[in-house]
Amino acid sequence: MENLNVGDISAFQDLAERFSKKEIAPLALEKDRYPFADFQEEAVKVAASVGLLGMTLPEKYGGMGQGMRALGAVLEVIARADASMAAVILTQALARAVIIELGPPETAEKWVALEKDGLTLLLAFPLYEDPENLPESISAKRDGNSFKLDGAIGYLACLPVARAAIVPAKIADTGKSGFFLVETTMKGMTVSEPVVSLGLRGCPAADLELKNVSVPSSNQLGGEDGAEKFVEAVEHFRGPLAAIALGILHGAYSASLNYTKDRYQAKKQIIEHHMVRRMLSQMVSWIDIASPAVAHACLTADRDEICSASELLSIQEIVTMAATRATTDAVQTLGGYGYMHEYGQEKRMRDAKQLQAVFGSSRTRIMNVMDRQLQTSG
Amino acid sequence: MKPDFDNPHLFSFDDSFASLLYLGKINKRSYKRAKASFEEARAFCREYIRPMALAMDLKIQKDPKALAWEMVEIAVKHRRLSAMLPKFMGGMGGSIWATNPIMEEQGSVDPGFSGLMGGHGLGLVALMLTFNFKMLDWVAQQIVKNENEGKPFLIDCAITEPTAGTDVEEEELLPHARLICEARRTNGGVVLNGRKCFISTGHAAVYHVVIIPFNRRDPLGSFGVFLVPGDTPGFSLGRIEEKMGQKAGPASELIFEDCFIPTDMVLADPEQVPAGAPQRLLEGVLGITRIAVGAWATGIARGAFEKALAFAKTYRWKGKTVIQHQWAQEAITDMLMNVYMARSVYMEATHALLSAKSSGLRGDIPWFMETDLFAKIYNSERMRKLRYSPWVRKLVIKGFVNAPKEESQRIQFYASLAKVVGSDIGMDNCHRAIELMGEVGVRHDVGVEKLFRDAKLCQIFEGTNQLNRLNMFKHFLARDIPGVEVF
Repeated sequence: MENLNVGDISAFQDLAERFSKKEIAPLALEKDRYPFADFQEEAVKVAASVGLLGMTLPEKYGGMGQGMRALGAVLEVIARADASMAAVILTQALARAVIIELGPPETAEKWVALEKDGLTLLLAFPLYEDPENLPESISAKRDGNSFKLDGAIGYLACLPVARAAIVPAKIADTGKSGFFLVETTMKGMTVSEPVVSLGLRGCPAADLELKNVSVPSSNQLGGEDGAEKFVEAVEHFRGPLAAIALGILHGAYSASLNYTKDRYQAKKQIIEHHMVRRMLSQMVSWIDIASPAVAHACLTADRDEICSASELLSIQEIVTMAATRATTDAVQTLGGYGYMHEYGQEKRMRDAKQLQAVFGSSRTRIMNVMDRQLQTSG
Repeated sequence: MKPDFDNPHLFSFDDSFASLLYLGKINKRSYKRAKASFEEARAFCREYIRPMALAMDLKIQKDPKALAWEMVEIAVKHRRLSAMLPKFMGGMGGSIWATNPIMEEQGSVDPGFSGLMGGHGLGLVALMLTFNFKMLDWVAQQIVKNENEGKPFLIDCAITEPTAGTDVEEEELLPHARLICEARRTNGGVVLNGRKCFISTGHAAVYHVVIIPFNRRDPLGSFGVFLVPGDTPGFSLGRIEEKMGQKAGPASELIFEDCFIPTDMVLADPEQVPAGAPQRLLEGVLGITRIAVGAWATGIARGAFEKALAFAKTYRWKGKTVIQHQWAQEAITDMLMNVYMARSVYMEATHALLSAKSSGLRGDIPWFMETDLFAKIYNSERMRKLRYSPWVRKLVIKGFVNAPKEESQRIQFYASLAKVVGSDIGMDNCHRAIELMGEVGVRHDVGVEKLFRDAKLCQIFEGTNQLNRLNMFKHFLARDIPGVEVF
């Protein structure tokens, strides 16, 4: 079976491991209080400087030029310590991939670099939208050499800390969907207070309102065929996204294992109670199934050899679903302590549930699986 | 996105409680009382608690040490602290039938508020089952008196210890429990030492009903129950736990350091109660509170359903309102089915409890106890002397301890069943709601992610659902399987 843990990417995993241990793990619980704690800016800076933030960026933009397999492996390791940081890295990689794939080269030159004016350049992205069914709540009207954007879009990932955002818009004359890169400092842009979220709080989201915002044509991404290219670009990231769920699963399992071996109930180690052991068994089975599935999803994206139109969708759906159920059990194995912030297990349960809402709701994703099957088989 | 509270067809009293509709045919009075108590509580929850639920949750997220005093205040103002005390004790005399449906109402608007009130209720139940009428009267008076003055008088009940959660919930497990609390007799009273944790309502309570053994190696044989005023020297409140949800109901640490309690605050002394009384007290308390948790979690399942329905009627998908899609209709109907399943189980459990001989109720408080004449007699000097006399107390406890075994087994079974079914369904509906709502569901301002966080606690406290499954096995199946080991 396929596996992410093979030779050439082990160096990235080691790097991610060291980064997690040193930069994320000690602060993960505190940073999880966002917006009632600061954004994990320092850790993001370090991620940028050691190359983790720019793993998938082509070398000419200062990245490592890696594919989905290396990204997935790194995100899985990081998500064991904190899924929020993994989500930040995913969002940044995804936003940059969309700009490179869809945007004119000069826009890419300007926006995909990791630093601007000496600061880490974070981009906001509609991470929680179904790429096949994007909201049409923003309209774009051509105005000479630029577009005028009006409307609003809810819940963009990284928006509270971003310098620019990628937003979908309906182009007024043609009725087609397009994408635009808008800077948060542009006139007419209103970024809401950070939205308090269930999980992945270290990857904060906010709502955006645009009032007659003038955007240069060069910031239009993908022209009139943007929608299709956008779906393709996002599709590749379903594997790394599932890798984050797998990382949460691993983290939850090892916390449960340690606790149930350490603690006693009715004179026995808790793990000797078969109802608890059954929950742990289930976690192991999910990890056993999810690991090759995630690796497969990442590899097929890199090789561009996707065998079924729905396979990445299915892998995302099943692995994220498994993580939500496993983390709910994982809280249970710690009893009352599982419900308390300081043990970290309840955070995993929230993070897993939040992650399940990425790229649209689970229910619509399930409907999309069959839609895609019917579209390809005719 | 608005809830459907004006819709007369959604969770009306008669639609929700067919068993009480049946009762109404044979006993009009009980039916009317139940419905009136229920409607009053529903109006209170929707008008006052619902609008502040999210703000309270956020306030405590911001400052984990904060308490939901605003909620306590509004509860006092609307006499919710004495709502369930009978009229002859000065309370509002709410219907006992309606207790659990009201738990559902509270749970549907704010499970954290249920927790706040639930800790108080648990304290009252534990106090009642010590049959220490003198202290019961006194606490009831304090609740009513303070409520009249607009002040809260909340109590709690402390069982769990830092190294013993599940083990203190079950008589078979207690001998193995690693307890750290112990009571010691001394001149004129007892001295308490140790630490209790995860105590619901602790930081909001002014008096604490505390269960501590005189010999921690033989807890069952030596359990005492004590009423500890919050300002007793040697008693202190420790940390407030930072919980995932149910933030309006604090989970507190209680610390006893050579804490002296005079004899009249000893609610139950193991040397003065018949053998078997501590087990029955524990069973009695859990037999009541586990059903309440089942109802409260059913409320969570319903709250999630209500949010999901409002979402489906508001948001659009592929050119149509979500609710116009068959897959969404299925998703919503599955959640509705869940609510009805959980409710059926906790109402059956309620009926098993209220019809028990040992409850002394035969369904509800007998009608004559509602009259002013009864209140007068109950509060007369002679009656008071009578019920405060040790032999009356012994008689009552004996009756309680010697209740028919099959009856207490039935209650234990049903209580665990209601608790497990309700809380599993509560959690399940929250999962389903977010799976339907996606990004809308994970935002705090919509409220369903709060329910998701709140729901998980109901699977853990009052005995984990795993322990409660074993409890069902023990009381229902094990009795017919000779030699089978349970726990």
